[in-house]
Amino acid sequence: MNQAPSMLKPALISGVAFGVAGAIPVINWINCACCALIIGCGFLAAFLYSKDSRAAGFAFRPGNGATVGLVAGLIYGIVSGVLGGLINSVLGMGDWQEVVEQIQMSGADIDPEVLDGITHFMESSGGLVMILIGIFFALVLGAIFGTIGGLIGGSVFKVEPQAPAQEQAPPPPPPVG
Amino acid sequence: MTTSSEPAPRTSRLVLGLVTGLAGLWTAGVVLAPWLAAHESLLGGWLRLLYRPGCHQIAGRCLDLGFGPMAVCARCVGLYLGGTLALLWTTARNRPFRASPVWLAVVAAPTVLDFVAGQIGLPSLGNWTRFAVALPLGLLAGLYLGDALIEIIRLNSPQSKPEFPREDSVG
Repeated sequence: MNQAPSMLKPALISGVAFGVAGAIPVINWINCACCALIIGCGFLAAFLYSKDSRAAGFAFRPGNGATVGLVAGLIYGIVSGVLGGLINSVLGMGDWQEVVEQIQMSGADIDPEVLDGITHFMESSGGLVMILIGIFFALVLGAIFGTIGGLIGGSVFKVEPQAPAQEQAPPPPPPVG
Repeated sequence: MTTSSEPAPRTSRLVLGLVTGLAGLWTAGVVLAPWLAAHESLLGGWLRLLYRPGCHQIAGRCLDLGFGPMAVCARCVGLYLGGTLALLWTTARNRPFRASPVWLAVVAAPTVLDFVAGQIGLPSLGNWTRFAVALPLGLLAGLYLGDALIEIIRLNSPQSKPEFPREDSVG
Protein backbone atom coordinates (compact mmCIF):
# COMPACT_ATOMS: atom_id res chain seq x y z
CA MET A 1 0.00 0.00 0.00
CA ASN A 2 1.22 3.50 -0.84
CA GLN A 3 2.27 5.84 1.92
CA ALA A 4 0.61 9.25 2.23
CA PRO A 5 2.93 11.99 0.93
CA SER A 6 4.74 14.13 3.47
CA MET A 7 3.35 17.61 4.11
CA LEU A 8 6.72 18.93 5.20
CA LYS A 9 8.31 19.08 1.75
CA PRO A 10 5.66 21.29 0.06
CA ALA A 11 5.35 23.42 3.21
CA LEU A 12 9.12 23.91 3.35
CA ILE A 13 9.48 24.74 -0.36
CA SER A 14 6.64 27.25 -0.25
CA GLY A 15 7.42 28.68 3.19
CA VAL A 16 11.11 29.26 2.47
CA ALA A 17 10.54 30.65 -1.06
CA PHE A 18 7.83 33.09 0.04
CA GLY A 19 9.60 33.82 3.34
CA VAL A 20 12.70 34.98 1.47
CA ALA A 21 10.50 37.06 -0.86
CA GLY A 22 8.71 38.51 2.16
CA ALA A 23 12.00 39.61 3.70
CA ILE A 24 13.31 41.46 0.63
CA PRO A 25 12.38 45.15 1.00
CA VAL A 26 10.73 45.97 -2.34
CA ILE A 27 9.19 42.55 -3.03
CA ASN A 28 7.50 42.45 0.37
CA TRP A 29 5.27 45.34 -0.72
CA ILE A 30 3.12 42.63 -2.31
CA ASN A 31 1.95 41.93 1.23
CA CYS A 32 0.31 45.37 1.13
CA ALA A 33 -2.41 43.74 -0.97
CA CYS A 34 -4.14 41.83 1.83
CA CYS A 35 -1.02 39.84 2.78
CA ALA A 36 -1.01 38.41 -0.77
CA LEU A 37 2.46 36.89 -0.32
CA ILE A 38 1.37 34.88 2.72
CA ILE A 39 -1.90 33.79 1.10
CA GLY A 40 0.15 32.82 -1.98
CA CYS A 41 2.49 30.83 0.28
CA GLY A 42 -0.39 28.72 1.64
CA PHE A 43 -1.90 28.42 -1.83
CA LEU A 44 1.37 27.17 -3.38
CA ALA A 45 1.90 24.69 -0.54
CA ALA A 46 -1.62 23.34 -1.14
CA PHE A 47 -0.92 23.07 -4.88
CA LEU A 48 2.35 21.19 -4.33
CA TYR A 49 0.76 18.86 -1.78
CA SER A 50 -2.22 18.18 -4.08
CA LYS A 51 0.25 17.20 -6.84
CA ASP A 52 2.05 14.81 -4.48
CA SER A 53 -1.27 13.38 -3.29
CA ARG A 54 -2.50 12.86 -6.84
CA ALA A 55 0.75 11.10 -7.78
CA ALA A 56 0.52 8.83 -4.74
CA GLY A 57 -3.17 8.10 -5.35
CA PHE A 58 -4.37 9.82 -2.19
CA ALA A 59 -7.27 12.21 -1.72
CA PHE A 60 -6.50 15.88 -1.21
CA ARG A 61 -9.19 17.75 0.73
CA PRO A 62 -9.52 21.35 1.95
CA GLY A 63 -8.59 20.14 5.44
CA ASN A 64 -5.23 18.95 4.08
CA GLY A 65 -4.88 22.30 2.32
CA ALA A 66 -5.53 24.19 5.55
CA THR A 67 -2.98 22.11 7.44
CA VAL A 68 -0.22 22.36 4.85
CA GLY A 69 -1.04 26.09 4.47
CA LEU A 70 -0.74 26.60 8.22
CA VAL A 71 2.65 24.84 8.36
CA ALA A 72 3.87 26.78 5.31
CA GLY A 73 2.63 30.03 6.87
CA LEU A 74 4.54 29.32 10.09
CA ILE A 75 7.70 28.55 8.12
CA TYR A 76 7.10 31.79 6.20
CA GLY A 77 6.83 33.62 9.52
CA ILE A 78 10.11 32.27 10.84
CA VAL A 79 12.05 32.81 7.59
CA SER A 80 10.71 36.27 6.80
CA GLY A 81 10.86 37.38 10.44
CA VAL A 82 14.49 36.34 10.98
CA LEU A 83 15.75 37.26 7.51
CA GLY A 84 13.74 40.52 7.42
CA GLY A 85 15.09 41.49 10.84
CA LEU A 86 18.66 40.80 9.71
CA ILE A 87 18.24 42.70 6.43
CA ASN A 88 16.65 45.63 8.23
CA SER A 89 19.44 45.79 10.81
CA VAL A 90 22.16 45.53 8.13
CA LEU A 91 20.54 48.15 5.89
CA GLY A 92 19.59 50.32 8.86
CA MET A 93 15.87 50.13 8.18
CA GLY A 94 13.01 49.16 10.42
CA ASP A 95 13.76 51.71 13.11
CA TRP A 96 11.00 52.37 15.58
CA GLN A 97 11.12 56.05 14.58
CA GLU A 98 10.19 54.96 11.05
CA VAL A 99 7.23 53.02 12.40
CA VAL A 100 6.12 56.09 14.38
CA GLU A 101 6.32 58.20 11.22
CA GLN A 102 4.22 55.63 9.34
CA ILE A 103 1.63 55.67 12.11
CA GLN A 104 1.46 59.45 12.00
CA MET A 105 1.25 59.44 8.18
CA SER A 106 -1.64 56.96 8.28
CA GLY A 107 -3.62 59.55 10.25
CA ALA A 108 -3.93 57.37 13.35
CA ASP A 109 -4.96 59.49 16.31
CA ILE A 110 -2.78 57.91 19.00
CA ASP A 111 -2.15 59.47 22.38
CA PRO A 112 1.35 61.10 22.15
CA GLU A 113 2.14 60.03 25.74
CA VAL A 114 1.54 56.37 24.83
CA LEU A 115 3.72 56.73 21.74
CA ASP A 116 6.50 58.44 23.74
CA GLY A 117 6.42 55.64 26.32
CA ILE A 118 6.75 52.94 23.66
CA THR A 119 9.50 54.92 21.88
CA HIS A 120 11.49 55.20 25.13
CA PHE A 121 11.17 51.44 25.72
CA MET A 122 12.25 50.64 22.15
CA GLU A 123 15.28 52.92 22.29
CA SER A 124 16.44 51.49 25.61
CA SER A 125 16.12 47.86 24.50
CA GLY A 126 18.00 48.13 21.20
CA GLY A 127 17.10 46.53 17.85
CA LEU A 128 16.53 43.02 19.24
CA VAL A 129 13.04 43.86 20.46
CA MET A 130 12.08 45.10 17.00
CA ILE A 131 13.34 41.82 15.47
CA LEU A 132 11.43 39.74 18.04
CA ILE A 133 8.26 41.78 17.49
CA GLY A 134 8.74 41.32 13.73
CA ILE A 135 9.05 37.53 14.13
CA PHE A 136 6.00 37.42 16.40
CA PHE A 137 3.79 39.35 13.95
CA ALA A 138 5.16 37.38 10.99
CA LEU A 139 4.27 34.12 12.79
CA VAL A 140 0.76 35.28 13.69
CA LEU A 141 0.04 36.64 10.22
CA GLY A 142 1.70 33.61 8.61
CA ALA A 143 -0.53 31.24 10.58
CA ILE A 144 -3.75 33.13 9.77
CA PHE A 145 -3.22 34.00 6.12
CA GLY A 146 -1.26 30.82 5.31
CA THR A 147 -4.25 28.79 6.50
CA ILE A 148 -6.63 30.93 4.43
CA GLY A 149 -4.41 30.43 1.35
CA GLY A 150 -4.23 26.69 2.07
CA LEU A 151 -8.02 26.49 2.45
CA ILE A 152 -8.55 28.26 -0.88
CA GLY A 153 -5.92 26.01 -2.48
CA GLY A 154 -7.57 22.99 -0.88
CA SER A 155 -10.84 23.87 -2.56
CA VAL A 156 -9.26 24.76 -5.92
CA PHE A 157 -6.98 21.71 -6.22
CA LYS A 158 -9.26 19.17 -4.58
CA VAL A 159 -8.39 15.54 -5.45
CA GLU A 160 -11.15 13.03 -4.89
CA PRO A 161 -10.19 9.64 -3.46
CA GLN A 162 -9.62 6.94 -6.04
CA ALA A 163 -12.28 4.24 -6.23
CA PRO A 164 -10.91 0.88 -5.10
CA ALA A 165 -9.83 -1.18 -8.09
CA GLN A 166 -12.46 -3.79 -8.94
CA GLU A 167 -11.30 -7.35 -8.99
CA GLN A 168 -11.23 -8.76 -12.46
CA ALA A 169 -13.84 -11.42 -13.11
CA PRO A 170 -12.31 -14.80 -13.94
CA PRO A 171 -12.37 -15.66 -17.66
CA PRO A 172 -15.32 -17.80 -18.74
CA PRO A 173 -14.56 -21.53 -18.97
CA PRO A 174 -13.70 -22.79 -22.45
CA PRO A 175 -16.64 -24.29 -24.36
CA VAL A 176 -16.95 -28.00 -23.84
CA GLY A 177 -17.45 -30.33 -26.78
CA MET B 1 -19.09 26.07 -11.88
CA THR B 2 -20.30 23.24 -9.71
CA THR B 3 -22.83 23.22 -6.92
CA SER B 4 -24.17 20.49 -4.72
CA SER B 5 -27.81 19.40 -4.71
CA GLU B 6 -27.82 18.45 -1.04
CA PRO B 7 -27.45 20.83 1.85
CA ALA B 8 -24.49 20.41 4.15
CA PRO B 9 -25.02 19.36 7.78
CA ARG B 10 -26.69 21.88 10.06
CA THR B 11 -23.43 22.44 11.95
CA SER B 12 -21.90 23.93 8.84
CA ARG B 13 -24.45 26.77 8.79
CA LEU B 14 -23.53 27.60 12.37
CA VAL B 15 -19.79 27.59 11.69
CA LEU B 16 -20.20 29.44 8.39
CA GLY B 17 -22.40 31.99 10.14
CA LEU B 18 -19.72 32.52 12.76
CA VAL B 19 -16.97 32.92 10.14
CA THR B 20 -19.20 35.27 8.11
CA GLY B 21 -19.91 37.30 11.25
CA LEU B 22 -16.19 37.67 11.92
CA ALA B 23 -15.55 38.61 8.28
CA GLY B 24 -18.40 41.14 8.50
CA LEU B 25 -16.93 42.67 11.65
CA TRP B 26 -13.50 42.88 10.00
CA THR B 27 -15.01 44.59 6.94
CA ALA B 28 -17.16 46.93 9.04
CA GLY B 29 -14.07 48.00 10.98
CA VAL B 30 -12.64 49.44 7.76
CA VAL B 31 -15.46 52.01 7.70
CA LEU B 32 -15.74 52.30 11.46
CA ALA B 33 -12.12 53.45 11.93
CA PRO B 34 -12.44 56.79 10.06
CA TRP B 35 -15.96 57.30 11.49
CA LEU B 36 -14.63 56.93 15.04
CA ALA B 37 -11.68 59.18 14.25
CA ALA B 38 -14.07 61.80 12.81
CA HIS B 39 -16.00 61.65 16.08
CA GLU B 40 -12.76 62.24 17.99
CA SER B 41 -12.55 58.74 19.45
CA LEU B 42 -9.04 57.44 20.19
CA LEU B 43 -10.27 53.97 19.24
CA GLY B 44 -10.31 55.04 15.58
CA GLY B 45 -6.52 55.37 15.49
CA TRP B 46 -5.93 52.00 17.12
CA LEU B 47 -8.45 50.34 14.86
CA ARG B 48 -6.67 51.79 11.83
CA LEU B 49 -3.39 50.43 13.18
CA LEU B 50 -4.93 46.94 13.34
CA TYR B 51 -5.27 46.91 9.54
CA ARG B 52 -1.72 48.19 9.05
CA PRO B 53 0.08 44.83 8.49
CA GLY B 54 -2.12 43.96 5.52
CA CYS B 55 -2.37 47.28 3.71
CA HIS B 56 -0.23 50.31 2.85
CA GLN B 57 -3.09 52.63 3.95
CA ILE B 58 -2.01 55.45 1.63
CA ALA B 59 -4.80 58.01 2.08
CA GLY B 60 -4.93 58.92 -1.62
CA ARG B 61 -5.65 55.30 -2.56
CA CYS B 62 -8.39 54.81 0.03
CA LEU B 63 -12.12 55.31 -0.50
CA ASP B 64 -13.71 58.17 1.42
CA LEU B 65 -17.37 58.05 2.39
CA GLY B 66 -17.34 61.57 3.81
CA PHE B 67 -15.61 61.13 7.16
CA GLY B 68 -12.03 60.51 6.07
CA PRO B 69 -10.13 57.80 4.19
CA MET B 70 -11.07 54.23 5.09
CA ALA B 71 -8.68 52.09 7.12
CA VAL B 72 -7.52 50.12 4.06
CA CYS B 73 -7.10 50.93 0.36
CA ALA B 74 -9.87 50.59 -2.22
CA ARG B 75 -8.46 47.27 -3.47
CA CYS B 76 -8.49 45.73 0.00
CA VAL B 77 -12.06 46.97 0.63
CA GLY B 78 -13.12 45.20 -2.59
CA LEU B 79 -11.43 41.97 -1.51
CA TYR B 80 -12.85 42.09 2.04
CA LEU B 81 -16.37 43.02 0.93
CA GLY B 82 -16.36 40.42 -1.86
CA GLY B 83 -15.18 37.70 0.52
CA THR B 84 -17.78 38.62 3.13
CA LEU B 85 -20.63 38.69 0.58
CA ALA B 86 -19.59 35.28 -0.80
CA LEU B 87 -19.45 33.79 2.70
CA LEU B 88 -22.88 35.30 3.46
CA TRP B 89 -24.26 33.72 0.29
CA THR B 90 -22.71 30.35 1.12
CA THR B 91 -24.13 30.54 4.66
CA ALA B 92 -27.62 31.34 3.35
CA ARG B 93 -27.53 28.43 0.88
CA ASN B 94 -25.56 26.08 3.16
CA ARG B 95 -24.29 24.31 0.05
CA PRO B 96 -20.81 24.19 -1.41
CA PHE B 97 -20.27 26.12 -4.62
CA ARG B 98 -16.98 25.62 -6.38
CA ALA B 99 -15.99 27.56 -9.47
CA SER B 100 -13.57 26.22 -12.05
CA PRO B 101 -9.95 27.20 -11.20
CA VAL B 102 -9.80 29.02 -14.56
CA TRP B 103 -12.16 31.64 -13.13
CA LEU B 104 -9.66 32.37 -10.39
CA ALA B 105 -7.07 33.33 -12.99
CA VAL B 106 -9.67 35.36 -14.94
CA VAL B 107 -10.84 37.45 -11.96
CA ALA B 108 -7.33 37.83 -10.51
CA ALA B 109 -5.76 39.09 -13.75
CA PRO B 110 -7.13 42.71 -13.66
CA THR B 111 -6.09 43.20 -10.03
CA VAL B 112 -2.65 41.69 -10.62
CA LEU B 113 -2.13 43.84 -13.74
CA ASP B 114 -3.23 46.99 -11.90
CA PHE B 115 -0.92 46.15 -8.99
CA VAL B 116 2.05 45.57 -11.31
CA ALA B 117 1.24 48.77 -13.26
CA GLY B 118 1.26 50.73 -10.01
CA GLN B 119 4.58 49.20 -8.93
CA ILE B 120 6.41 49.99 -12.17
CA GLY B 121 5.09 53.53 -12.33
CA LEU B 122 2.48 53.13 -15.06
CA PRO B 123 -0.86 54.94 -14.67
CA SER B 124 -3.06 53.02 -12.28
CA LEU B 125 -6.84 52.73 -11.97
CA GLY B 126 -8.99 55.12 -9.94
CA ASN B 127 -10.08 54.18 -6.44
CA TRP B 128 -13.66 53.11 -7.23
CA THR B 129 -12.49 51.20 -10.34
CA ARG B 130 -9.83 49.44 -8.28
CA PHE B 131 -12.52 48.54 -5.75
CA ALA B 132 -14.81 47.20 -8.50
CA VAL B 133 -11.97 45.18 -10.05
CA ALA B 134 -11.02 43.57 -6.74
CA LEU B 135 -14.60 42.74 -5.73
CA PRO B 136 -15.00 39.65 -8.01
CA LEU B 137 -11.65 38.27 -6.80
CA GLY B 138 -12.84 38.62 -3.20
CA LEU B 139 -16.15 36.99 -4.12
CA LEU B 140 -14.45 33.98 -5.70
CA ALA B 141 -11.97 33.60 -2.84
CA GLY B 142 -14.92 33.73 -0.42
CA LEU B 143 -16.75 31.05 -2.40
CA TYR B 144 -13.70 28.78 -2.29
CA LEU B 145 -13.36 29.42 1.44
CA GLY B 146 -17.03 28.59 1.98
CA ASP B 147 -16.67 25.42 -0.09
CA ALA B 148 -13.59 24.38 1.89
CA LEU B 149 -15.26 25.04 5.25
CA ILE B 150 -18.41 23.10 4.31
CA GLU B 151 -16.33 20.15 3.16
CA ILE B 152 -14.24 20.10 6.34
CA ILE B 153 -17.38 20.23 8.51
CA ARG B 154 -19.11 17.59 6.40
CA LEU B 155 -16.16 15.21 6.66
CA ASN B 156 -16.01 15.67 10.42
CA SER B 157 -19.75 15.46 10.95
CA PRO B 158 -21.20 12.20 12.35
CA GLN B 159 -24.12 12.28 9.87
CA SER B 160 -21.77 12.90 6.94
CA LYS B 161 -22.19 11.05 3.69
CA PRO B 162 -19.29 9.55 1.78
CA GLU B 163 -19.83 11.60 -1.37
CA PHE B 164 -21.41 14.92 -2.26
CA PRO B 165 -23.29 14.63 -5.55
CA ARG B 166 -22.79 17.54 -7.90
CA GLU B 167 -25.91 18.74 -9.74
CA ASP B 168 -24.33 20.59 -12.62
CA SER B 169 -20.99 21.29 -14.19
CA VAL B 170 -20.60 24.41 -16.30
CA GLY B 171 -17.09 25.75 -15.70
